[in-house]
Amino acid sequence: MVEPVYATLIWGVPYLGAGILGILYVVGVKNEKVYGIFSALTLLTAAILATIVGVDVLRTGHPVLHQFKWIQSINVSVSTYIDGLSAIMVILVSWLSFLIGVYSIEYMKGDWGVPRYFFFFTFFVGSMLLVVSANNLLLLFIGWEGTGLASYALIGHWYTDEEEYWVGVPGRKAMGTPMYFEPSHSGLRAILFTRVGDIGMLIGMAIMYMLTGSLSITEIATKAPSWMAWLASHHVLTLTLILFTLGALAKSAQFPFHEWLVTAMTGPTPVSALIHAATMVKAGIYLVLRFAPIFYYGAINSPAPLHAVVVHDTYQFFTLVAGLGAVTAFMLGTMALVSNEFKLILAFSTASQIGYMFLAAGAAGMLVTEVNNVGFAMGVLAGLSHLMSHAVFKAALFLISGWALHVAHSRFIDKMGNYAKYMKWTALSMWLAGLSLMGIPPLSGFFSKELTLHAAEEAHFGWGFILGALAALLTAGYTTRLIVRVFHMPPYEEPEHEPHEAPILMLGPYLILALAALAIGIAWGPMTHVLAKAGQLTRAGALVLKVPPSDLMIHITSTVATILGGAIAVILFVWYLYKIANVNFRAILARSALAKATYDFLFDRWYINAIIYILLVYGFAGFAAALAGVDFGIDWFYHVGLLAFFGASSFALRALHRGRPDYILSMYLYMAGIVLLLAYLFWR
Amino acid sequence: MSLATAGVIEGLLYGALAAGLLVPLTPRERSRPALALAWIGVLLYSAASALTLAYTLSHGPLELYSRLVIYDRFAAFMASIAGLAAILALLSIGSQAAEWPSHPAYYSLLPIILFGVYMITGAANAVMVLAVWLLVSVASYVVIALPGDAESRAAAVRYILMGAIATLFLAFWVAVHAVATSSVALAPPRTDMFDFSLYPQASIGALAITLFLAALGFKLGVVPFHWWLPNVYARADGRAVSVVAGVAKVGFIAVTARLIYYAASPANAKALALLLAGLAVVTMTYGNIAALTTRDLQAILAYSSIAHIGYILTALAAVAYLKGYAGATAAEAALAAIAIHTLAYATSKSPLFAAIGAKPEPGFRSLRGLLRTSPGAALAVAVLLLSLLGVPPLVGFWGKLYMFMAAIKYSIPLVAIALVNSGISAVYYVIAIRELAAPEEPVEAPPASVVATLTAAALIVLVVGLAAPYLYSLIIP
Repeated sequence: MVEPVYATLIWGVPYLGAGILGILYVVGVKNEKVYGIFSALTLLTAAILATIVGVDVLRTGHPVLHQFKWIQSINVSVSTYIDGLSAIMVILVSWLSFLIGVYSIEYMKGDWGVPRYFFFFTFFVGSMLLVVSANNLLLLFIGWEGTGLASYALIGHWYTDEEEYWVGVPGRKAMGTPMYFEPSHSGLRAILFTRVGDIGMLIGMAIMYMLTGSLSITEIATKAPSWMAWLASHHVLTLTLILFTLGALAKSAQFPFHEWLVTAMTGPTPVSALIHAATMVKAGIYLVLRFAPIFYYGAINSPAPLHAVVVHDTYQFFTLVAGLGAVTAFMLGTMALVSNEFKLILAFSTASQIGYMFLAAGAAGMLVTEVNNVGFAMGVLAGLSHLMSHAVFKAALFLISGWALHVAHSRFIDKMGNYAKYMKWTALSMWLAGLSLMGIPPLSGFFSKELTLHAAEEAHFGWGFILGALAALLTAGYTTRLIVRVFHMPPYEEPEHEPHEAPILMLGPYLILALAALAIGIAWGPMTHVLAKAGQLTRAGALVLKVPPSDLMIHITSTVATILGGAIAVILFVWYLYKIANVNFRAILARSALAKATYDFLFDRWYINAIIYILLVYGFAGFAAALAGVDFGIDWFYHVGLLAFFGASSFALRALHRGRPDYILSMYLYMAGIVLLLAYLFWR
Repeated sequence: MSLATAGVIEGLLYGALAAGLLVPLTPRERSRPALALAWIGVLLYSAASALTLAYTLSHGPLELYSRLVIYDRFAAFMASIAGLAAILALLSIGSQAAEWPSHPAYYSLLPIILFGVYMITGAANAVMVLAVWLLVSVASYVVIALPGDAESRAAAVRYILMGAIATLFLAFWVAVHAVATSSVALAPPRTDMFDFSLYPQASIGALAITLFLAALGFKLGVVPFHWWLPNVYARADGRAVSVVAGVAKVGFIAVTARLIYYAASPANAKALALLLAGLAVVTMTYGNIAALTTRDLQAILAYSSIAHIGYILTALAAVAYLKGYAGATAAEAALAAIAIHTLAYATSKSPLFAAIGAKPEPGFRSLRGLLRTSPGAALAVAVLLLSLLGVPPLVGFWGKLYMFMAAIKYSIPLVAIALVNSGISAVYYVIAIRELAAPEEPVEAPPASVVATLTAAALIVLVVGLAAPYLYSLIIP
């Protein structure tokens, strides 16, 4: 057993480090190297702590709990709980953070915002580690919002909004809305899009607290059968679960919240790698993986009279999650096909791949109707394994893109080409990570992706499976296109700079990650044991996350063979189109209206951004303008209308007065007569 | 006991009257003898009213002059308020009136008016009302004219002209009253008021009451009989207005309340209450709205006097209604509320008018920037204005509270209108208070007597405010 306090230190150390970085800045330390090195050391410490605790948990089979009292009145303590799922997550997050932190030292060299960058970077890591290790929802939510804040700040890192930091083609519009985004605008989008989901999450949390009297995840898990039954008896179980999961859907950029992630690419590339590929966007799927066993456990153990209703509602919820995942996987895959920005292709791919994870977790949950515990466990762990392998290879791809953009002095792949000639090691990393993304054995991506599709198949989720399989072909297509265009073909537009190999501090991290993607794949057999054990050690997992490791191995079935064969065929086809047939896609677009319309549809992201802007952003702006009009009316009423009315009345009444004695005398007499008449009238 | 007390009180009142009458014999070039005599008169009157109050509180109603004057607790309380207001007025003016061309008339008329106020406050006979009316009215006209400047004389002329007509209305009322009741007495033969109605006959009763209200409404400033009031209150010298608005008016409020109380019966309560409520609404709305746009403190005080009579009419409507439908006790509670409110009214208006009139340039800008030149006086003025507005715990708050609580038993819409009016009044009171703190061209510090009076009045308003619930319970028999 390790010291329990290590568990709290895993996230405490990066927070402390961020605090010290802030103080260093305030006291006026100018040397940027201090910030980078200090941050990296902090992250290394956290990584070592995470490894010690995580390995201990997985080895001994005893989760580690460390807590101290915080808010007595609502029964909240600062409580860190490292169970199987958390153990995997903290190890993954902390080491990725460290590697990307090291890369950042080189990448951010000479930037004008280095202290700010490393402050938020370190703060982000603390928040992310808090999310995956918190034992109660309040603490989790604090970490959750911390990651959102850091994401906002880092997306807008270059908030002076020079054109080179934009996303999208300057001047391009879809349905009248601009399709190019400045860093400051993108940061705002990110925080607003995710905030929509967070509101739902808060409501869900509040409902759970109301029904269980606690925010402790353990307690919510234990009491799941009863509170889920109560909600089902009031016909709001599905709604509550969806509300709670909205936060996760938004955080993980699932349709229809995916738009923020696309434009988050305005941030520095290491930020894209860490926050918008490897970790923060995984917080959403982490939450789903964390709560899927709880909901599943609650549903199958719900009290008899309501059992059928609870199971039905839970099934509905999981179907929606799986469906959204499948749609996202397919939709974002199509967008990646035509994009002309290196990082944007990777961003589409990220949302698409996270879609697989939601598909797996949701499909697993759909098995609640069959009480297929092994199938459920397989699906949830499929989601976790794809999370893990994707985090590794996508981080590598983003780090490579950082170097590629740096070399080309452009974000557009049109200005990149033939990089394989100039940078062998980078090309090797690119191919390893790319093949992993495409799901080619023996790389890790193959195993995890096949597992997720297997989960959808197991749940008899037909159209979800088909969308997922199509997305696998799309993945092979856009990834090959990217690699071929950047590494094996001359650039479309002549670059101004001569490419060369990356410096070791940058090459090192992505080469390590690419090799890790290979290593994890080769060692998939032992990995299945680790995953199976992690599942059992997770809350509610001892009951519903039991699966023999062999079920997490990929057996070559006709389905697997078909998908793999399709992916390889697509790779070869794309290679053929570009390298052998030399198809001129630009000429086709210029000639064919249909091709151009399809291209525009995909390039402008299915017009979803435009629709969101027109309906919601401009809609609310119009609503706000209308309210402002009402407000102006109220203002006018109080400050002008009322004043004018009373002022005029006042002057009129005083004007009734004349100093002339004959006037006041006759008024007196007339009025006395009138009053007398009235008095007579009323006395009757 | 009653006879002995009556003798002492009558003796004190004669003393006050004598002091007033002796003033013209003092040398014109000196102010002190006249001022001393005026003080003697005011204090003798105050002693008489205090004694009356003490007697009614312990022994019940006090009859004087073979039931021409009958004092109950309400009347005794009102008479005492007039004494307090007179003390404040005299304290404030000090020897200033000696500079007027008419000196020493002011010092003579103040005790004479008080003598009249005592008689009219307790008047239980129609002829007595007419007689004392004449005394107080003539004295009031003269007081307004005393300062001798053109504005004051012009105001006095209008006051006299209107007053002449009002006196005719009052005389007419005496005649109708005599015909209707075959008597000139106001009070019933017995002292208990149950089932008593002054005017059992409907139509002649309506005529009597309208005539009475037309006359007394002129004195009080009830819209639409108020036509003289803005001219006199807002234009004449504030020191003279202080006597008319703060002292004499108390007696007229008392006699009006008494007549309404006597006249109301189950047969006419509804009509009478409706008439009074109608007058209340137009009066307070008129006063408040007209005050909104004026930026002259004296004009604000003039219009707010009208508004305050409107609030009192609200309670009077309740008196009429409750006397007819809920019995004498409930009606007397409403009367007690009127007494508390009159206390608030008189203790604020008397010193405020006196303070304004003391300025070389009366009216506009009269108190601007006072906070810098005389912070104590400014604070006191603010307290008095806030009491008029009805801010707790000042006495003005309790007056409105008790009056509106009584009126709510009669009509909720009426109270709602009164509350809205009270809210509107906040605008001009606050503007006036803000003026006190205005940074530019502050006025000179007022004379010490004015500052002392304002401070004393503010303290009274505050202390009495804290004790108001106790006073209220005292007045209810």
